[in-house]
Amino acid sequence: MRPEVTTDRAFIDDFIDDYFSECEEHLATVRRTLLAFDEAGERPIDPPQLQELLRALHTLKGLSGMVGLSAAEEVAHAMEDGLRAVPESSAVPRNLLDTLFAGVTRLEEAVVARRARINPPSPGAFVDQVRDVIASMQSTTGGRDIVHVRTEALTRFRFAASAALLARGVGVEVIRQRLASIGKIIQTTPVALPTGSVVFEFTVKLPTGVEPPDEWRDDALSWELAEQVMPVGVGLVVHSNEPMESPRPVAAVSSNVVRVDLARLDDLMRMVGELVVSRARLSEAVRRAHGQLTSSVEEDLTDANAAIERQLRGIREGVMRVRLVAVNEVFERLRFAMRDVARETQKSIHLEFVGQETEIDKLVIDRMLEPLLHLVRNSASHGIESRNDRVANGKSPDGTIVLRAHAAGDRIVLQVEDDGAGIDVLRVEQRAVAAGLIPPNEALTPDVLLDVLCSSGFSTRDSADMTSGRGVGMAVVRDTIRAIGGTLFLDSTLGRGTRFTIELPLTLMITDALVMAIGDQSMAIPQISLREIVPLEGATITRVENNEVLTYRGRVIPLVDLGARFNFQPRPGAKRHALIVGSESHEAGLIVDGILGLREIVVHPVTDPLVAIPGISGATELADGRVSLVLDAAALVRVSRERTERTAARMLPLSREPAATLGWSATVSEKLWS
Amino acid sequence: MVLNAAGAESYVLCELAGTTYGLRSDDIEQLEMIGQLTPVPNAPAFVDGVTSVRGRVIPVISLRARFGFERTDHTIRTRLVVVRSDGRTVGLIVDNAREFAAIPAASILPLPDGMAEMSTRYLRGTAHLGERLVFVLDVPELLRTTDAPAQNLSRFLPTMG
Amino acid sequence: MKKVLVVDDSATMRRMIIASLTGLGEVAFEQAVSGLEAIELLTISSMDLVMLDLNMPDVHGLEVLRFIRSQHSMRDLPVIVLTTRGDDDSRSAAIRAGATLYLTKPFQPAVIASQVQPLLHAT
Repeated sequence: MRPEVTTDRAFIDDFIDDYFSECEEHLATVRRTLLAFDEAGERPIDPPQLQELLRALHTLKGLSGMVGLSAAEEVAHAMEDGLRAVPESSAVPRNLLDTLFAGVTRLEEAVVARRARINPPSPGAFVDQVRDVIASMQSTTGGRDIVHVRTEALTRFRFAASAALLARGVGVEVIRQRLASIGKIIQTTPVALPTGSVVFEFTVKLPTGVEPPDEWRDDALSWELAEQVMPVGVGLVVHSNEPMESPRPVAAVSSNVVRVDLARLDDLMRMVGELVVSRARLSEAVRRAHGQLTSSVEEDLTDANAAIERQLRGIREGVMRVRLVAVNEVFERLRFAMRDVARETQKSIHLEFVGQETEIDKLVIDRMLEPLLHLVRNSASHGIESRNDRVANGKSPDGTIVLRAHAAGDRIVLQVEDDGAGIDVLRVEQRAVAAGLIPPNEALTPDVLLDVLCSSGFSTRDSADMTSGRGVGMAVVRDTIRAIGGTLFLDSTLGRGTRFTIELPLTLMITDALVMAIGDQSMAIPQISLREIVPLEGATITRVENNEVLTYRGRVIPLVDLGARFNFQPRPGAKRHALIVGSESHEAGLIVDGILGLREIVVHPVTDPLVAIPGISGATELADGRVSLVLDAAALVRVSRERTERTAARMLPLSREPAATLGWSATVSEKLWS
Repeated sequence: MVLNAAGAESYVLCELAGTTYGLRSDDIEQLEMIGQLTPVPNAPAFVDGVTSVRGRVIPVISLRARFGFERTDHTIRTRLVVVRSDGRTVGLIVDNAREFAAIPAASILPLPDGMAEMSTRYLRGTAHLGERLVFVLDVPELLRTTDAPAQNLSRFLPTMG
Repeated sequence: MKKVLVVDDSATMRRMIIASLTGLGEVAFEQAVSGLEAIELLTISSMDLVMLDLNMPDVHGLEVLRFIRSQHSMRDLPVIVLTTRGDDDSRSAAIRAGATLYLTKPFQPAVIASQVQPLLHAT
């Protein structure tokens, strides 16, 4: 937008996205190895992991320098220096490890700042900190430790590289990855032969019982057992203690993995979406041509159309699957952040993961990192009590925070649950009434409680809280979740704990939907959100205060008049139906004026603030080119719940007992309507 | 950055109720005919709805309504100017959009005194193209400001002649 | 057509180097992600110039350089070594091992192009 001052800046901008994504990979390596060192405690560092960490830092340093992000360059450099100061065969001293953890945060900050095109914080303080730590290390440690080397049963592999093999796709890197996948490569030596060709010798330690597959011999690979001590290469040390127990890094062999730009995937999805619309048009045209074509031609067209539909579905599912990543990626980041929090608060906290292999769209989970971080920090600092308090209350001294993920229909459900003190609802209520957020004597349902907690500026803590004070507040947490079409719920029991539940869309951008008439407009709703469709002619509808309720098959279902809610003109002669949506415990019936049919639609999320209306999750282009809005069933159910709860609460006797447990109780509404 | 040899930026000239506005070419993605508009319930009054443009669904603002002019029917000259700023893509309905002009930054004069008081942060200033007066719009600022429609600007136009 | 081999384990870095050198006329680029691959490519096909990063996994850039210089056919192959700021030891070791030139990262694209050009057209 602004004119570029130098060509170099423009040059760098071309690569900045590559930089960010490669940075993320290396940062993940740094986090993973640091956590491993943390867990290793007093045990000596595992040399391959140390090399991995050093290389990642070195690359980060070089790349950051190339794109002009000197803040990151200097932090990475300092971290490298710190690690190189650790004597061989030692563990990483605690103070250095803590500093390295802080370094990761500095690196993240620098990258975030660069993305936002603002100045990153100065690395000076951190660099000084590392220098101090190195000085203190050198004063306490002696000279280098003696390196013990012992004879190992090793296998020597020889690979004869050739143009023919390379043409077949079998190069030395492929061989190296194969070997790394079955054992530990101790050394690699290229040997030039007098003929002018080259042979690569790999010295590999294979776990007992592991044999290389015979087919590998077809690729000019030969092997034999070697029993001598191998000379060590640069930076490698052979230890004398037991075979290293450190687990192999998770993604050690990635020869089958391709790095894909998310923007390209978006393009692909968009193209598939356009194909879907074109196919729908074709389908329409064939339908309209009925009677004008010979029956065999029509049959062929219909068959071909059906085949295309099946194939498109396959492609679209395939592309969507590429965007899916295991939630574990984010959970690991949280584990990393938790370490800081636990130390700052001096509490001992267990972090458990359930369902971490659940898959979710990468874009969705990326935006969930900050909100989840905040919720976990909140649990750690406000929720979990101090050891003494816990023991005094008969609880285990260690607090537990559980992170859960599972798929439920068209949604992914994430939960952050702690076994801490729970939310003191009365205290929150008092504060809220004092702050004028709620009128006195109004029943505090879980949703209203959540609203209060999410009000900007609401805080029950007077003193600045280092761990939960920084970063985003609850309001932003909820806004972030809403912006991606998700919902936040809260359950809390005083003395027992708190649970936040987040429902997120699977990002089914192409989905089957019901198109219906509401007032003088037509709208769509994803079929997967629908549980039943009930014609309202002759149905039992009762009014309770301002709300209508449908009695159907023994259930009492609150109704939502969409036409009225959206201020559409009423439609004469409408055949009203109720679309039952929601879950078994929370249902709602959406009143529509007619059912127009089932279509396969491409959902475009509509997030621009000008048109972000609660109850609308996006828009779709129908076959005739018109845009139709897509309903957000979950949001509408929530609206209906809130209204019903307020009605129910108003009908309860005024003297409330202190609510010990707050969770939606279906029994309340049942009592009401029976 | 679309610059000509003299360092002047390229603008698209749009007309609204007889007034000419200049929008930077860099901010404009496409110029389209008005297609089907789908109203969005409970949206601000100047938001005419959403429409589909080259496979994307974007919100559409009537600049007439936004600037306090009276709405009129669309003609074949009515255009949808698709602008992009700060990650958002929005369509602006204008009476017509036919010309390109190069306007050097130095020729953009600040607004006349009377106008400076109003919420006209989205107007960078005015420029003279020959005898014509062009109001230079700041598109990013326009998208950011979502207040009530600005007052009718026509009363501030200096009388020509 | 001159052939340039770019050796660096960072994909981004390789791309940046290649982009810096594309103005140099008829040049074809080969890429190697590791010292092993570099050695493999150099023995199987001949190159006119090598851009060699020093810090790489498995086989350090210096090893690659020594290997190159040990081969009669590659004794005079121009090898430009890429080092990072403050890595003086590696730099002197590289010169002793037979590097034609060294460049320190971060480097300006124009600088690297101007250094490479004379070497490319001298052979």
